[in-house]
Amino acid sequence: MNVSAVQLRGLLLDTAIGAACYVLAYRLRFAAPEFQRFLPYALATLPTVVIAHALALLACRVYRPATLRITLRQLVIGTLAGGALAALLVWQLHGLEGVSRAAFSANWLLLTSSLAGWRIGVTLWRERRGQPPPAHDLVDRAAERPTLGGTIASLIRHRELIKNLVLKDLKLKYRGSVLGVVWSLLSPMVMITVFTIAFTYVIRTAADGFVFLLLLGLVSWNFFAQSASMSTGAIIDSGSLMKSVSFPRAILPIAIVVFNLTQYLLTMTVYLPVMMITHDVTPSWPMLLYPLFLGLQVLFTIGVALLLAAGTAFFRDVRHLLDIGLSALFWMTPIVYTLSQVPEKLRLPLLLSPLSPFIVAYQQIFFFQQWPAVTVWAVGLAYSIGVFLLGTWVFLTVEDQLAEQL
Amino acid sequence: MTPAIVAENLSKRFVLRHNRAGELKVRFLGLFDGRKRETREEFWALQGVSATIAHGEAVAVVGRNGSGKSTFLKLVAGLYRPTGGRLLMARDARIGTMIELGVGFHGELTGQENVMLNTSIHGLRREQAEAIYPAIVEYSGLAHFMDVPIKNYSSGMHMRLGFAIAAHLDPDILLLDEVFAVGDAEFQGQCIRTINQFRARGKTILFVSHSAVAVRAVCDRVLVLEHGRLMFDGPVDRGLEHYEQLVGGGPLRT
Repeated sequence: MNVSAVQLRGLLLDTAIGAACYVLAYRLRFAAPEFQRFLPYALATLPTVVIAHALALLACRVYRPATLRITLRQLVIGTLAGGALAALLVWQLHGLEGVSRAAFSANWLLLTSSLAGWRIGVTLWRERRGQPPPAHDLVDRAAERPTLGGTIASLIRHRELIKNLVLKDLKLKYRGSVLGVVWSLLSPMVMITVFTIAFTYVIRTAADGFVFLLLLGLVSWNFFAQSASMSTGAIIDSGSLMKSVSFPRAILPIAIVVFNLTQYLLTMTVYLPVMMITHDVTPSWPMLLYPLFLGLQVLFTIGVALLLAAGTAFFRDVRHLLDIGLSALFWMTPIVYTLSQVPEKLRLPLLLSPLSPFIVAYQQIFFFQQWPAVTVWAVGLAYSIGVFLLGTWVFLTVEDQLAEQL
Repeated sequence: MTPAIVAENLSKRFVLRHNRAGELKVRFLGLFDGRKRETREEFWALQGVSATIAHGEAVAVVGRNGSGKSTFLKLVAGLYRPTGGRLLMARDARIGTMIELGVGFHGELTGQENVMLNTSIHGLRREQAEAIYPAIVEYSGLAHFMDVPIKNYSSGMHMRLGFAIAAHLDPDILLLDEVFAVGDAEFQGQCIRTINQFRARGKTILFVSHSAVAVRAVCDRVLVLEHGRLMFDGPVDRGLEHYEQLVGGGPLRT
């Protein structure tokens, strides 16, 4: 095989990243003392795993073209096949002792995100430096498939549009009302007052801090639920736009998520200070993790919004299914209760409900002032990266059929 | 001359779905009752069209309703994906579409807000939008109404603002789908003058129209489509003759 220097460098970088991901996955799976015990197993299987992944990526022809581009199909199939091959080889060569399934899954997620990540980074950096691939040559529009890096780059080029769509929704929301934005600050105040009165004087069974946890969960839940139900209309309600102007369609659902994010942040700026003062919660270090977990929730929500926006274009039933799904999901998420109140057997299943890791993390960092547990990290990372990639992949696959479905 | 658009054996198939099974109910009923089942019918909107359009050429696409003109335009615009064949274009070509005027306008927003939103839909950054904003206002002649919500505009004002935006986007390839046929004579004249200015600046123009006058005023080459196939490719006069024969010798709408 004829491999150029660029491709060889890419392969070496991927291999190094793969090794780092595998060790990191073990570290995520096992806490410090256990990790020391399991590290030798990880290091023994490391070469096998890394080689298996490199072979799978080579088989997917990731290193074939002269560019660094990787399509989503190559990424997902390449890493999945690599993981399967690695598992098979490890089983045959080393046996299963000391091999962790959770670490394997974590490794897949870390690997997928970092392989895509550095390529996107390099693509963006090149674009910024004004070294795009030769542009004046004629290219076949019919054969071009969207790539992950290319899409994210074009989303960033269109950031002005995302901003303007969000501004439009904000303006429309507040136009004509006397108090304007104040409404968004007033409603959390009213919510706090009503819930506090209800659970202090009317329903007295609630434990200490119940209102804090309830509202924290409810506000984060609303951000997700609103984004999800609004995104079902993102594509089908912009029919004439879809049929006359070409732009990355993913912008429509993403703008809806960003709009709901601004509403959520407005609520949080009232809610957090008020509740922290009334509940005597002092700022602490774990709270610094809030932007990180919020970012993961946003990524997760964008993935869901992309799936729903495209899904509704093909099946109008998605809207109604979503309504039912959301009400079921609400009670499967620790909002009205905390995981510690739940029987031991149900804790892991409930943590695996898609929105749980984020809400549990907010509860842990704001109310209990603890660092989130490793399981919360792992599940949260898995859902946000997994669902984001899945949503992007599905959306990009059907993007050019959307205009015909309306 | 370097080509701007090369279509090779370009085809587009649509699937017509009767009793469209977009709803699960329809799928479910279809299990029991054949008449309620979704039936699919293939429809070739475009079949084996090959044409090369050079930089700076102004080409009209004429044909009867349903002959595939708009489909061709939408394929070039990247709104649909071709089913077969090749469509070669420069990767960095900026494509301006005037397929429908004032799309994406929002009634509650003012004229100015709509201009900013609309230019960003077409991919302009804020500085670029602000740079062309005064020209758009002057061109549309709506300076007095820019802070009024667009829902209070007349349909003519709506159209004028839409065209003013499209006229200032400065694309390399301009795709027109007879957007100004609904306007009055003055507006149509203004549109034709603007399109000819594009032409004078060496832009490539693809123009779908039923109007022989407009085609003569703007274009120097005509493609005639019939049932999705390319019937004629050549100079304007002969192309329009050919088209006239197709529609049955009747007088052309002018």
